[in-house]
Parts: sequence; structure tokens; C-alpha cells
Amino acid sequence: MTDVRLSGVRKRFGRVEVIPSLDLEIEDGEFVVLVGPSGCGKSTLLRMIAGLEEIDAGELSIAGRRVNDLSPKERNIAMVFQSYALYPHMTVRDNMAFSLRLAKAEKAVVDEQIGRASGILGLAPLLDRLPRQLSGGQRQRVAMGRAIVRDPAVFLFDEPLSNLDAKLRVQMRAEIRGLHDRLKATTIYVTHDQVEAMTMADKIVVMREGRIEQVGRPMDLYARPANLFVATFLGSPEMNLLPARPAGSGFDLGADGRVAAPGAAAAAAQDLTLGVRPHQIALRPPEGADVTAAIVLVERTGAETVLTCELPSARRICVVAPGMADGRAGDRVGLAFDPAGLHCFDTKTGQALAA
Amino acid sequence: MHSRPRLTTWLYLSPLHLLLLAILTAPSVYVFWLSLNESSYGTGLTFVGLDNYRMVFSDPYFWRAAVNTFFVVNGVVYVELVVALALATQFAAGVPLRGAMFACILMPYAISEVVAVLVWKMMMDPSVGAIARTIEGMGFGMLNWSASPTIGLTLVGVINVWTHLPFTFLMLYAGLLAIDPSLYEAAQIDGATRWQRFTRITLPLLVPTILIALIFRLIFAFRMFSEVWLLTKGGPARLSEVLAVYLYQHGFRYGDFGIASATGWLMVLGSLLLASVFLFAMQRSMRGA
Repeated sequence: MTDVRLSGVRKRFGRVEVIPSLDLEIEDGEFVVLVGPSGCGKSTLLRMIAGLEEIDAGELSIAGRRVNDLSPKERNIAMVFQSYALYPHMTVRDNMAFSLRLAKAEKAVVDEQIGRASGILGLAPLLDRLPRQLSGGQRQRVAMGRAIVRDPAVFLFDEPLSNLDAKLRVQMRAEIRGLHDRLKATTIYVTHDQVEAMTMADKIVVMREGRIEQVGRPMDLYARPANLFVATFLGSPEMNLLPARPAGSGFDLGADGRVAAPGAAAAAAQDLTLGVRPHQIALRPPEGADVTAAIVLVERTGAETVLTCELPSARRICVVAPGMADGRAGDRVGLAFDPAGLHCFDTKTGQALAA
Repeated sequence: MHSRPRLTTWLYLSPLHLLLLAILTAPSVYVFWLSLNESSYGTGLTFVGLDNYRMVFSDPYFWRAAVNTFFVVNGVVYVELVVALALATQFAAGVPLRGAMFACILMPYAISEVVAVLVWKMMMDPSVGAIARTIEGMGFGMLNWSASPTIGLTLVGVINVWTHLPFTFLMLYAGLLAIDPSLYEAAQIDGATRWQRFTRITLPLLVPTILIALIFRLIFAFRMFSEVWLLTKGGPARLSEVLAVYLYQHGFRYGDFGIASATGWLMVLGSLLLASVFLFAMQRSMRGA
């Protein structure tokens, strides 16, 4: 059982409090992604778990053992760095063997472990090359190989894909997830890319300014964001937000019209922010529509069409229509909001309201 | 459209070559010519072939100077390398009052060499010098460097290291800063101790920088003159001469430009020979690892 538990963990750099006080539980074998904008403390948190940064207060335990004061190697973790951090003067084989040789492992054990890791990652033909003779994707794989040979209890990844081009990133995403499914080791993965978080994680931890905004399974977070930050951070293009007030069985958008939402009347008639994802708005003819808008920009990707529209209040709203939808800049369209896709937030606190 | 390069084309391309020709090649060739002639202060040349070289080679003072140079150069260069490496690693790891410390280390470079040597000479004066008196007070006896060529040359070496340390320090420090810090973190996670990180990450990655620093310092040290000249003038009895002092004595004391030129050329060959070991190693490390 290799669970990772953080309770009341704090970190400050000089006068700046990077992580005020944080609690998090990661179960054995889970693939957890820490995601958030840059400067949210996710990398610092990972480095604290690795033992590269000291923990100022609170407790970190791995597999039930307090590890605050243990050195990185005693924590039985392995880390893959953003820059890969391969030793440039060593061959792939020596890079992978480094930790085992430091631990004075027998040659047969070293060879066996390298054979196993290079088999899993397809590195066998590259073992005698130097890192600079490898492509970005290959280097990434060597970095993972170096982690695997140690047979660690926890894998830590620090933005491992951000130096790769878009196509390779998609491929490596699947490879890392596949590796996890095969090794079933507890994995903590840091990224600022919400697509990586959504596609790879068993559990996402959304962070902002050193605090956890929400923890949950990717689809739960997508479907039920706890607040405005999570709502807009996950999903692309991001969720549309409109000021609204509850009115009968729906919402009054002021100058922009009204949205019908049968059975979704909020308790109090307060000012709130209505959120709706671009995919959950359908295009209709303008005649008789509750909400109408003028198309400002049309972007076609082939599979779908992204339309930026302007509401009467001059607010912009993004709509994603499947396939190659008609419409060009200047056209007037009617918008139909999917009642099941409406999210209500308290405008003042940003917290989600039960809709 | 291929046309043969014309004279003007070559002229446009050649300022660098002309400059090098004027300030390096021509004087070197002229010195070589001087070394094949007997002359008085470079006038009244009489061609003597390789006689000057033969005379130099049969002069025991030349050999004494060559041996002195060899020992001083090697001692100075390696001691300086170790000291500079220790300092640079400390700096790269972070030191309190970094700016002030940096200024202290660089200071010797800002001081004129002649002034530096004269100050050292004063401080090492056996009867009044602060350092010399302290050493004597600590019970190490009187350091009479003007009487003992070994002590004299050791002092020369110390001063030489002191004045040139900033150079080697800066080279190595820059080299250290160029090493990706995440390598050390990866090594830490891999379980390497501080010392293992130094020997297995820092040193191998610093080899190219070390080689360049060594080549430069060998060549600088080979030309060492002012320390010896200002301290001992090569004495006692020409026993502490180095090659540059030997050259100076023959050229400007005895007016024998033939011998001096021959010595000059031998020094060039000697320093090339010493440096070539490292040049070779550097080329190999650039091609291979």
C-alpha cells in the first residue's frame, strides 16, 4: 500500500507564503494530476513530496511512514523532470543504471532492471547512445526508464511533456498513462495543461495560489465545478459566464433575454452568474429565439465550428457547433442553452449554487 | 553566375589576415630570421645558421631556466586549478555576502602586476615584511628567498597563483553555472551524496572548461617574467632564472639578439608542446563524449 498523505503542509519562500496549509490524500495506485496556472504552487508541492524542498510545517507520509525529514532517496520515489535532466555525459544505459550503481547493486541486477525498463519503453536499440543523440520523445522515454529501474513506490512527474511538440505530446500522454496502467504505481503528475489533466488523471487536484480549489474525478469536475475558477479552468474553449437572476422556471439575462430551465429555479432571487459550456449551446434561427446574437468570428477546425457571438449587451459568448456549421461574421443567430448544462454560481463568492 | 574572385574581392575579405600578418606573422618570421643570425641588438646581421640554437642547447643556464620554468609552470597551474575549483564550487553553491566576496576574489586582476609583485616583495622582506615576520613568529624559520632558489621560486609561484586566480576562477565559475541545476536534483533523487554529485556530475561536465583554463594558464605561465625579475632578478647566481628571464638577460643585458630570438622560438615550441597534451584531449572530448 503506497498511499501519500499530506496534512497541514506549509511552505514559504522568505516572506512569500507559497502554500498556506494543504491537506491531500492520494490512494495506492492512483494517477493524480496537480493542475493550475503557473505560480499556483503545484511544482513546489511536488518538489516537497520529492524531498527537494523542505516542508516548513505539517506532515507528509508515504505508505504510512512520516518522511518529512528523509532524504529524497530514502523516500523511495522517482521523478521525471521537465528538462528530463538526463546526465549528458552518460549513455542511456549509464543514465538508467546510475541510481542502481550508487546503491551498489550487483551487475546482474542492474542488467536485468535495465533490460526490463528498456523493454517496456522500447529503448533497447538506444542503450549505447548519448542523450544529445536522441530526439525529444526518446529523451523523455529515457527519463521514464531511469525512474522505472528503481522500482519506486511513487512516481513524480513535473510537467514532463511541455518541451515536446503538440503531436508528440499527445502520443507521450497515452504512453505515460499506459505505463501507469501497466505498473500500477502511485503517480503524481504536475501540469498546467488542463487537457493533460482531463485525459490522464484518475483524480484531478485543481490548485490556485497554494490552495486546493477542488479535488475529484475529471468528469465530475467538468460536470460539477465547485466554483468559477474550476469552471473556467477546465474545458476548452472555456465556459461562458453571464450575469443572471432567477425568474420563474428559468433565468433573466436582462437585455440579453431569458433562459428557460424547467425545474431549476434557484432558491433565492439573488444575483448570480450563469455558466454554460460552449458545447451546450445550440444554434437556432433568430426568429422566436429567447436569446439572439450576432456572429463576430467563425473558426472551423473540420470536426467542429467555434463561433464567437456578440449579445445585445455587447457581451461575447462562445458557441461550439458540431461539424461545419453555416454562418459567417455579421449573421444573426438564435441561441438555445441546454437546460441540463447550466451552472449557477454566487457572483460574490464564486461558489457553485445547487441548481 | 560564377566569376573568378578578383584582387579587390580578396582585399575586401582580408583585413583580418592583413592585420594578423602585420602584428603576428611578420614579427615571428623576423624573430626566426634573427635567431639564424649573429647580431648586436639586432643590427649588423651575420648569418650563422643554427649556431645560436646549438649554443643555447649547450648552455647549462638555459637548462637550469628550462627546468625551473617546467616546475614552476606545472606547480602554479595545477595548484591554481584546485584552489579556483574549490572557490568556484563554493560560490556556485551560494555564499553569504556574495557581491563583496566576488569583488575580493577579482581584486588581484585589477592590480598592476608590477605593483602586486612589489607589494608581495615588501611583505615578504625577511627583516620587515609582515608575512615573513608572521611565518617566522610561528616558528617556521626565516624565509630567505633571496638566498635560496627553491624558496625564491616557490614565492614566485605563490605570487603568480595569487595574481591569476581570478582568471581561472571566472572560467570555472562560468562553467559551473552552465550546468543544469536539475541534474543535481535528479542525482539527489538517484541517491548520490554531495561528493558523488561532485565527482560524477560536476567534474565530468566541467572537463571542457578545465581544459581550456589549463591551456590558457599554461601559456600565460610559460611567459612568466615580472615576478622573477622583480624579486630575484634570476639570482642567486642565475639559479632562479626562468626562460623569459634568460631571454631578457641575453637580449638586453648582453645584446645578443640571436640567442634571445632562438630562446623565444624554443619557448613557443615548448609551450605548444605542453599545451598540446590538453588541446589533444579537448579535441577528443569534443568529438567523442
